[in-house]
Amino acid sequence: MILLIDDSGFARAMIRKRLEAAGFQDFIEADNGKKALRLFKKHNPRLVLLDIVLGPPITGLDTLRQIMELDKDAKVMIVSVMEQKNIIARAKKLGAVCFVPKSGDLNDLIKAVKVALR
Amino acid sequence: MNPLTYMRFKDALKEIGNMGSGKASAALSRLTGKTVMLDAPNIHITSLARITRYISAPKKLIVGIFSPVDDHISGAMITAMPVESAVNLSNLVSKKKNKVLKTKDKETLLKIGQLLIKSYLQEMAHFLKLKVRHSRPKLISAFGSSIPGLMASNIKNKEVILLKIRFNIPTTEIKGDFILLLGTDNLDNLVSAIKDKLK
Repeated sequence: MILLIDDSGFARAMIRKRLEAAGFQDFIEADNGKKALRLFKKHNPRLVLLDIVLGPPITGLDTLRQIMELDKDAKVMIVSVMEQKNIIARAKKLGAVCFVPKSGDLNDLIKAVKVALR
Repeated sequence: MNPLTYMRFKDALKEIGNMGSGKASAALSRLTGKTVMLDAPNIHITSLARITRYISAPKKLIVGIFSPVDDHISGAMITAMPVESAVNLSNLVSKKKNKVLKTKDKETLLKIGQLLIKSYLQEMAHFLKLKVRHSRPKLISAFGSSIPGLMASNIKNKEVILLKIRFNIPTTEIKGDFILLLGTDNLDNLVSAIKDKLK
């Protein structure tokens, strides 16, 4: 199971369609950090794709931190428009496995998901 | 457009604005060595006559780097900031402590603005697979309330799409807006490009 966390329905639909076309299935979605944490606790997904730019009530980085507190072995990929090095570094320090730019080639995202799920 | 489709279109446009400003903020971050924070995008589809209300600080003196936008989509883009922020940004990049904007500072701001507009529009064009061309930017200094009028010169319609994203650099007193203004004659191209992303 893959948990998609993004406050944009458009972004979630775009990423999900591309991953489904590549053969991935079994998705759950959250449009905010609070819902994401609830779904994470309930389903313990194999992989989380998280947009770091997340609206209230919980920021993307806080969502990541709380997921890692729930499961230190959780696999969380950052899929975001926020490409600033120091923010990505902060996310990796919190435990994110990698960063993929959301606006980039979605084939890179597919490759990264395959690697993360290996 | 039915209400649901309209909401999805606005959501998609916000996300596209996020992508553009994400790229522009990364460029600004590299230039300043600071983290650049972005607010959630604001999008308004409204009449040209009403857009002044959506511009920040109408009574304040604003420095803007402005560029008309053409090709598959047409309109205008501006990176606008209060004059104090413009002075602080110029000082931060040139390592100066000026109190007002001098000629060299204006040149610096123009270069910064050019980089930000280019980053924003290139990202948007790349993502949507549209051709987007922008002219050589100009530096303008005007009250916030005049900004829409200046931007509207390249708009053919009376109905417009206004996409605004506020940025700030914490601890530096630098804040401003990335504003993209497009005529609603761009709707067909935008909707079609967005639909392609969901195929």
